[in-house]
Amino acid sequence: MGLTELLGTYGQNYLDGLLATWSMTAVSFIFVMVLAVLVTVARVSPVAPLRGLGELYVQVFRNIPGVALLILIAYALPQLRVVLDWRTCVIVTVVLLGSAFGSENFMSGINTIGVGQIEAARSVGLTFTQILRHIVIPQALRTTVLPMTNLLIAVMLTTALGSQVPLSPQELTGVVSYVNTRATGGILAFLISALGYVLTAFAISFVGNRIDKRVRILR
Amino acid sequence: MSQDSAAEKNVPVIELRHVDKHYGDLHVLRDVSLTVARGEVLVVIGPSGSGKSTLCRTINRLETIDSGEILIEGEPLPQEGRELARMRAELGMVFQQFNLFAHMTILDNVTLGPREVLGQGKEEAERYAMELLERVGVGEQAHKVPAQLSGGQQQRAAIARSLAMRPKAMMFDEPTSALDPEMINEVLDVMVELARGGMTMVVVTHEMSFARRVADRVVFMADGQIVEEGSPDEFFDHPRTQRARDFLDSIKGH
Repeated sequence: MGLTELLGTYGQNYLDGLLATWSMTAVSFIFVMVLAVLVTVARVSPVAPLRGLGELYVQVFRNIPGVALLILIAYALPQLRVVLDWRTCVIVTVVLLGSAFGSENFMSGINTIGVGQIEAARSVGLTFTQILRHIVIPQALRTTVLPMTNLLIAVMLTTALGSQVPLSPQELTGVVSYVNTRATGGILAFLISALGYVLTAFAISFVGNRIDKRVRILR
Repeated sequence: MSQDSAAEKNVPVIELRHVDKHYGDLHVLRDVSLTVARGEVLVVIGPSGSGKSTLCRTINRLETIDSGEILIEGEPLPQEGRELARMRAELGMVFQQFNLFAHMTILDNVTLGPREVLGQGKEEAERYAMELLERVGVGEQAHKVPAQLSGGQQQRAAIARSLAMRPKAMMFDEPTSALDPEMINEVLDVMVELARGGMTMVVVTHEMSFARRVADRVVFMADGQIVEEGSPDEFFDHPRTQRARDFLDSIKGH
């Protein structure tokens, strides 16, 4: 099957696939960032058990293969009477993995904030929560735009796990399997999806770089 | 209210009683007792490693102590949490490295405390902040971020940030040690003004001319102990201990 024929027959599937990838990426990334902030707050909190829990979270989800985690969530959780729809399973998987890496990014961002600034904030009379809110989190966010841009791309690529479960509509990678079980698209069927990922990643990097230039903290 | 009654009773603003502190095997503060009266300017000098910075930092509990007592206007320094935060808000602290918040404008640096801790409105906080920034001579830098200012300007802004909390006392932990020589005086001038205005101050410094000119009392520390204390004239012209004489000799010509 040639390119025109592939696109003529399955163009709509590819388009739906791209949109599905985009929407899962966007939803996942929002939760990734929220969870990454919460996990990071736990990791720097003055409460030792909370710190331990945060570390454990990162160690577990940074080191588990995505497919294994998806299988656990999609096929093992129902044994505990937790049944999520397929799309949610994929998103939860991506969020758990992504937030572990996101928290690592934040930790390195926090480490660039001098201890002196924290001491100054304490000596002004700010409480732990106020210091997090006004000093630590804003600086951690602003110094980690580029790594978070990379994370967003990684999150997008991880949504390809969706090809392992019966999604409807399918995302970009799932579309390829769909096409190749019906026609002999071969490598070309992959390339079309790959182009969708690559162009999106370019757009993400471009925007990420622009944001970084705007918010970067002068030192 | 409490301020008035404390003043009437002549309670020292800061009082340390038999304070001891170790860093592992190192005994950094040895049985240090000290009082600072209202309006007094106390200058702490001594060789590096003598514990003078640590002493300064224990007063608002940036460093904890092993034993002894620290009283602020007769009240013991709270352990942790909100009470401690409130007490810290009443004591200004100026650091060697300025420690301005890097992501905020100078104006926001100064208004953050008053707005968050004292609950002032934006307008009120900014009006007073501008007044203070003008007073220390960096009013025109209010909308810049710290990295755009020279060290001397940053340190003066940091002083304004502390003053914005209307503190009962100000601590200075080697405020000019990180500055290029030509910027030292602009910072010292601000401190002289403050002292003349009646601010209670504890100043850890190597600036002997400042000590001589401004201090009501000089405390000389060595090896974690207060070795000698007295008026600047007494101390600089007639040091009583050999340690102090050695120290003064070693810095002569600087």
